[in-house]
Amino acid sequence: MTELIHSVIFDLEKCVACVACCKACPTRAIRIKEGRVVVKTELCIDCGECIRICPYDAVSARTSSPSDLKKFKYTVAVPSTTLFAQFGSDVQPQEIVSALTHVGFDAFFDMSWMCEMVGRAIDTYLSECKGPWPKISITCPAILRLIQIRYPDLLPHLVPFEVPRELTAKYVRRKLATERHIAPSDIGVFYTTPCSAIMQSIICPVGLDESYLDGAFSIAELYGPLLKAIKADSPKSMGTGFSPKGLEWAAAGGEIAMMRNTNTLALSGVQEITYVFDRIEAGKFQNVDFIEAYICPDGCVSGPLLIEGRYAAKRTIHEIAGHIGLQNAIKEEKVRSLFREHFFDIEEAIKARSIKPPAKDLTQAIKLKQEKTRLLAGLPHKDCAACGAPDCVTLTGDILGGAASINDCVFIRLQKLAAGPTTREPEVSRVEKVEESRIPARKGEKANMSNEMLVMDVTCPNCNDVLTEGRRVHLDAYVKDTNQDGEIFLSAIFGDYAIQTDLDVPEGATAEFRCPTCDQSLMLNIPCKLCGATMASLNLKGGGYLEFCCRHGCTGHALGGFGDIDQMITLVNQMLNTPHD
Amino acid sequence: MQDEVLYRESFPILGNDYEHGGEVATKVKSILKELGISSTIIRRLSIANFEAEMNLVMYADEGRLEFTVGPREIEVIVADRGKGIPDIEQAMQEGYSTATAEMRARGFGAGMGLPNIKRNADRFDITSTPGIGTTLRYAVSLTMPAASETQ
Repeated sequence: MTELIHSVIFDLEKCVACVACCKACPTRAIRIKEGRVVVKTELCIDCGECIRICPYDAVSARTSSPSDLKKFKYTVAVPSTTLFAQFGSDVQPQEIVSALTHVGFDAFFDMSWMCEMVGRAIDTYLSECKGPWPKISITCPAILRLIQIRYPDLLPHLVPFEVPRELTAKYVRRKLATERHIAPSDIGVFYTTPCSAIMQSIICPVGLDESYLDGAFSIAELYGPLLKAIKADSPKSMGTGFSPKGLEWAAAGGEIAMMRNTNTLALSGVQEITYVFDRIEAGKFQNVDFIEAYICPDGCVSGPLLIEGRYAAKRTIHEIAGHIGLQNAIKEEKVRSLFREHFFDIEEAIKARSIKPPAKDLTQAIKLKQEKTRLLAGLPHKDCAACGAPDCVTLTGDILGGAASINDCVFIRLQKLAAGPTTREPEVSRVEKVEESRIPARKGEKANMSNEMLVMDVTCPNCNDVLTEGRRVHLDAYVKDTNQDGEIFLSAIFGDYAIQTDLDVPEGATAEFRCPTCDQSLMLNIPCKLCGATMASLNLKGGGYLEFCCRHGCTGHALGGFGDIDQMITLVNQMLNTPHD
Repeated sequence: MQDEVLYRESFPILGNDYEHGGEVATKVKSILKELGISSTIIRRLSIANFEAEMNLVMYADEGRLEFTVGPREIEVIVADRGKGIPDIEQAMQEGYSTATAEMRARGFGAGMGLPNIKRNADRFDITSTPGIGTTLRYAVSLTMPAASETQ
């Protein structure tokens, strides 16, 4: 099986290792490992959901660039029908295709009529074929990939017809070679693509040995130059017969709308598709003849490489088709003769791309499954993705596959933190082990003064002076109850609330803390959640802050302010004495 | 009967719960996929499980679907508490259905249910007591290819 090459690319400079793409990925192909995005390439279907969701513009699609045009003597643009939905309904398809010839292409070739022909051909196919039902469209390459990896049982349901863009490219190549005598190798045919999935289908085609297209330009990238060209170019009617039915293929429902057979369904969006595909696998929907399915909600008009929003685009394409009016752009006899010639047929059988099963036999698979269930029961089911896997179930699979550890779960780490320190050796130098405490534990309180406790390095938030001295934090305090002011030493050991001072501090008294170096107040205007007294704040060396209640005897405290989850994990690890990778 | 239990899981199903109808069959399917069971076996079991689950949703008060993976076969028991089937022979006939208009509107009750389960199973057994409930017990063999597959 040929190696998968993907069109989706991540810019690791821009990527901040948030988990937006990881959670959005419909096939759970993305992980965040050590602050970097990692893609399980065998699962990626290039749907572009990550491109759409990324708030940092770090995900894009590998598409063609103007320099690719220079490799050919004669270049032809095949515009996706979604292109006509980008500029509003006042800009006619003729103006847009004419603009294509002003941005670097020698010519354009309309695809809408081929869409209509394929629709008709599918009608003929449905009337002649014998199931299994329902038949499923392969127009969306992301759906095709999804079926290959997750629904191999549905492969016999696929309509074995090549998609309009490939057929158009095949046709235009032949036409130019015979009519204009241009050598096929001199002709560059480029698609304008609304999505990464189509780009990927050109790099790594399915059902074809090699794509008839030489590349594809992102519509989002062409948008600016085209907009200028449309303005500069006075609109003139080119008279090319666009097929209004073919144009509507840009939006979900357009494919079935042009067919004679009305026993059809239009699906779009990954949830709808999973719902229906799961049921087709269970023998349902057999009374339906044909299903069109698009991974993008509302079909190609919501592709990740488009500018116009999907609602406006849907309306625009519908209006443009309406302007052209009801007409048949194609001749029935032509479709029938091409059908008999097998012009529409895919060239290679579409095979499953099965994911390597993790177990070698049933016994091992069952063991793995039971282990997974056991692991999952211990996980928090928050599906927070802080571990770098999109959800808890996926994390269990990664753990069993050796690609992750249970300690990747932040909640598990916090649980361990709350449960007390572990006995493992610390690896981080700033963690100091306390062999014995000079601070006596308060009466009736758990001392926690074993030699495993850890010292927190705290600094003044104002002057940044380190206030931890050995196992104590040196502060100045004014005790309101007794009207005394002086030095006070708090235990620097996490989880210990002991104090040392010459001041008279009765149980329940509150103090106002100051930095002994800069004399600035450390008090916050925040009440303690436990007792309502005022909280004081110190910074943690290395990031984050520690807030603590100023009332003697109250254990209210909070940690926060970590720049990212890794910083917090580092701290938690240091407290737990667990080595951090 | 199962001689050895390698894996077993059981799911509750509620009568009239159309909202979640089909979810148990889908869950079982994904577990069987995880266990690496061949897709033809999964397909046959899924068809049967789907029918059995929807029968329970449509006609019974409550029940469970339990599947057991053994070394030789996967057995499914779907037991419900409900009105039961007075005439099993009639219910087993192709096309026989007591589905209401509402059920049919939702695309169920084409009368294929029980025969369809039997067709997709290598072993099928049904017992029912009117007023008490119904128990279906069917299995798909893991070792031998079924006759329907070789056709």
